[in-house]
Amino acid sequence: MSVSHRIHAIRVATKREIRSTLHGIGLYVVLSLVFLVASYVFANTVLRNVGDAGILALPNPVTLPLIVSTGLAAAYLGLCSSLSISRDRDLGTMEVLFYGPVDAVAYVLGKYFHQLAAYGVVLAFTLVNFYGLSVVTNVGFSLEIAGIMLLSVFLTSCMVSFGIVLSAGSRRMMVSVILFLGFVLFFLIFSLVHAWVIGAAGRDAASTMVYVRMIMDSLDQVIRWISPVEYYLRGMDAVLRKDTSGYIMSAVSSLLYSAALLAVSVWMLRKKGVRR
Amino acid sequence: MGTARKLARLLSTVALIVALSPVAWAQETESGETALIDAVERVRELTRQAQEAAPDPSQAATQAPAETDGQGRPTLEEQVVYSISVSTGRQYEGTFAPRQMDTIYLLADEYAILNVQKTMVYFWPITGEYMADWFGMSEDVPGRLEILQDGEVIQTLERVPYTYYYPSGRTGEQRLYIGDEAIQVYEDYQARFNAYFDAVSAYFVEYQEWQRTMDRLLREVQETGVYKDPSEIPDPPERPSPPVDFAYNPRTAFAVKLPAGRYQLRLRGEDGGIVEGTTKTLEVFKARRSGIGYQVIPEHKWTRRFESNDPSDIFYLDGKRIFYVLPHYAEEYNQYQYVKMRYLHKPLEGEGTRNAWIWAQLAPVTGARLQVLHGGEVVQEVEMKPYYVRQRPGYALGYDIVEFDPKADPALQGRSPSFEAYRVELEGDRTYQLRFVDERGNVLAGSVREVRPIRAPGRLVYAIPLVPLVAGSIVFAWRRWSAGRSPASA
Repeated sequence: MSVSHRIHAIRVATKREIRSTLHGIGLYVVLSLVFLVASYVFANTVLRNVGDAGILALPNPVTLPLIVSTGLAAAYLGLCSSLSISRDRDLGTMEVLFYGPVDAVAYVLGKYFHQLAAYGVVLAFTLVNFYGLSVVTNVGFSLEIAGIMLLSVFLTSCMVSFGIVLSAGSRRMMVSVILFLGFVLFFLIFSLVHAWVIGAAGRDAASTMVYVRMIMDSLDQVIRWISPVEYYLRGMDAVLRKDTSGYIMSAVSSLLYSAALLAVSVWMLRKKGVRR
Repeated sequence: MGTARKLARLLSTVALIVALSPVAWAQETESGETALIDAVERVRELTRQAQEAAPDPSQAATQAPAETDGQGRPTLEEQVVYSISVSTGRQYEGTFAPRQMDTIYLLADEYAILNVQKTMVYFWPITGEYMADWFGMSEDVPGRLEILQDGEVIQTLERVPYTYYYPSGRTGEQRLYIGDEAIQVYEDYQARFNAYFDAVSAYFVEYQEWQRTMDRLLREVQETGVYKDPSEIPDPPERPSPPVDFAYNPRTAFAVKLPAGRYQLRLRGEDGGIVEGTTKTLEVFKARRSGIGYQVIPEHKWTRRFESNDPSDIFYLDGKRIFYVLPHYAEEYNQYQYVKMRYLHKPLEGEGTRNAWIWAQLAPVTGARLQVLHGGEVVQEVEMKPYYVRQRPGYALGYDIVEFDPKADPALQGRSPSFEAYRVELEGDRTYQLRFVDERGNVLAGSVREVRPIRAPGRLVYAIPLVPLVAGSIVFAWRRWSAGRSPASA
């Protein structure tokens, strides 16, 4: 299949799918729910703490709810990509498409760009929501926030690729959904617990806590390369430190991660075939 | 460090008490100037002996404490170890690398004192650390220290004299001097020390003379019944003040200062061979970020200070606030390396923190001014001043923080300030910037902080998230409406 035909197929598939996403109500409902959760976290942590303390020094408090929102939105789109491929296989749509001018590369990239385009809409609403929040509370909307928003595109790229590779590797929709949710939850919980264990346990930590920390640190040496959340957190750390090279490194490594997973998805689709 | 100070202070106190007894006795019995001078000389000698016997402060930190006596029988093992004294930015701290530790951690471009010594080592399971009996055995292993990088010897070091000097006393600032400078600093200190005792000798002689004059005047008044004119009564001699500074007796060790990188260390003995157990990896690391840390004392709860080291921090205020700022230099290090550098003799310290980062407080910022900016313009310039926390009298709770000025307020005479800081008073209605500038007006890097008053948004905080839902509903309704109007639908 020629490159121009493939690009055309990707464009048509992406356009069709994004139109369907934008015309449905699902994405908007999910976004509102995610933003409500973020607002609840924001109002009950930062605003309340500043009110209680009178004066506090913090990194921009919008950062935490922003991470929660973009993380949940990226996970939702990753789940959608996983569901979409599994559904296409279950319904036989995939087989029909592959009889036409669509091959594994065009199909996988079509799904990938569809979710990225959907994330463009998510990002627009995220910008409106957090800019609005920062204006009404006067917490400030800095360049770092914009940097984190941009970085979330790469998180979404990783999440979507992760969803695609799981659904390409499993024949049943339920299996791919369970695998995706299981992995994402594990990665999220691991990152949270790892950060808590390091932050909560001081120098004089009990030896049990030190051993827990050592185990988590060893696990982190592996998980940091396979978890999309870890790529995002590294990039976010670079944003807060104003480390441009670290930021670019995080973005590039996220893209390489996505490219590797998409390549594996194409290989799996070719190897396993497209039939139910 | 604390143990060393306590020990040195104890020795000095005992020496002074023992030696001052004959001084008092000599005064009481008026046994003459010779006895007094002899007594002062004894004090001088005992104090000097106590000072010279004071252990190296870095080794005292890892010395087996007396409390461990009788708490089990640890297995002592004679080992060749690296005794290590490292700068934490505020002071030098001690640790050591027993045989079991393969890697030594040091700060880049800072002097560290390393020594290769034979001592008795044991593992103390109660606190989970290796301890050394430095007081019982501490023998320098002769030789030269070789530092290698990529298999090539890049430096060969001989032992040099070093000393720790405390310009404002043992609890204050600590400085490390190396080589001839160390000897010079110690000799200067000794000269001041001797001058003090010479002055003490002279004082006691003058005091005795004054006492004799007073006795004579008193006798005359008793015999004649005529009071003396006040101008005839001599002033007593002034007691000399001891030197406030302190310098340790110089010792010799290897002074290591390297740029960041990974090296190997080993001791080449006098016979030309490598001394067994001295080959170690040396990891020299530097700060990831540096800046000015703020220690903040809110006026409404002055005992609850908090820190802001990260330059990306923003100060959020709830209404008008008064707070006090104590600035210090701060650097961010890898937590694992920083903790291992300070506590290498504690194997579990810092484990599991290879990817964590920690801010270390260094020396306080001195001679700077705090500027408050609004809209890019300096609206306040604040100097550092001493403040006193005064409890309100009576049954009412509370306190006032007042500027410490004993001349203006006699109630403060004889008291010390509670703290010295920059006082900032900000209205909670606009955004400000805080920054420190030096004497020439240059902004200190990493000292800028934004200050924002926070607003309570009420229910609006939950209304904004509904924007996507409203937008989605409009799109959905429009789609249904346009589908209803399309020819296919008709």
